[in-house]
Amino acid sequence: MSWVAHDMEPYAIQRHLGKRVAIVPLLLGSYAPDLTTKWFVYGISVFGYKIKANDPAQFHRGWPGAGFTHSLLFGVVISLIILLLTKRNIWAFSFLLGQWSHALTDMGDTVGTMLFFPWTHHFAIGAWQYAGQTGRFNDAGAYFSGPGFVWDGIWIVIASFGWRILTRSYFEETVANGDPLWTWAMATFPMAVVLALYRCSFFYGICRWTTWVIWAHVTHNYQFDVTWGGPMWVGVASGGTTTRLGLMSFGGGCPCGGCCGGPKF
Amino acid sequence: MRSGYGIVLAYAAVGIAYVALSVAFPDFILSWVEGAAVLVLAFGVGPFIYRRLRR
Repeated sequence: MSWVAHDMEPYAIQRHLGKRVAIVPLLLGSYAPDLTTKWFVYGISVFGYKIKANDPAQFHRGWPGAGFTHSLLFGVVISLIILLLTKRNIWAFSFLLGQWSHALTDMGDTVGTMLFFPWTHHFAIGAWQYAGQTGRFNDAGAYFSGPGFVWDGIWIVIASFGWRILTRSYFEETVANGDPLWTWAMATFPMAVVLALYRCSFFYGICRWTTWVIWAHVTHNYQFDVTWGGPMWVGVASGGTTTRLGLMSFGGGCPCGGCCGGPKF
Repeated sequence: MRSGYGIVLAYAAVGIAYVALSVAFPDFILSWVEGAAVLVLAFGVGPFIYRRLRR
């Protein structure tokens, strides 16, 4: 999975397409595939009971499971629903772009996505290790120790080159102009709050990239491994297999390579 | 009206505070909703309270 890329891609698309897209559905589309599934992948505790998918990768990306949310078809279906409900082409198109960018980006890891669902073949580039099954913290430790850390950094740089889209003048002329959502927001809240909400995902993306890098490598001891398909210690700690659908063997023991004595490279 | 540099500095200051809090308490902080809440607090609620107190 990707982390900060999903925050930054919508701003890069916004910069490129200007008035042809709407940022809110673009962001919603970019977050949509993980919006209702991530909590079950990582697991939560409710009154002492741990609720978590038995096979997180299968649930997250596979079928049977919620993997269809990472397909191109899912974006089309939700976009059509948006179009039927709102009659706004730009909102449907923007959601579609956002969702497709998410599905394509998540092809970068070792599990990949069922891009052409109902065909259940997984398209995976395998640039970085999928580690969702290890829980939120170890997933962060793995992701921000491998090529995913670089990938997200590239997206921060790309989005930052388009810093002008974060200015008030760009927002008023291009983003809010003619968009009823922002018109309502500007009539309801102070401009500083509206601009803060518009810039929020950008701000959040940079902050969480910085936070997880510090958390993983300053306050903890996760080992960098930016080789293709890394960090390899995710696979080593899980019994010698890399994390691909159907090949996981997270038996006992700590799955991380950084926090409590896992393999060090 | 604050200058462009002033706004960037304000966001940077809020960002540093947010990152520091997030590193210290990653269990409780660091979700999109909390990121939005921090910005709204810093640029909406905070200045509003400040103006009210100065009256």
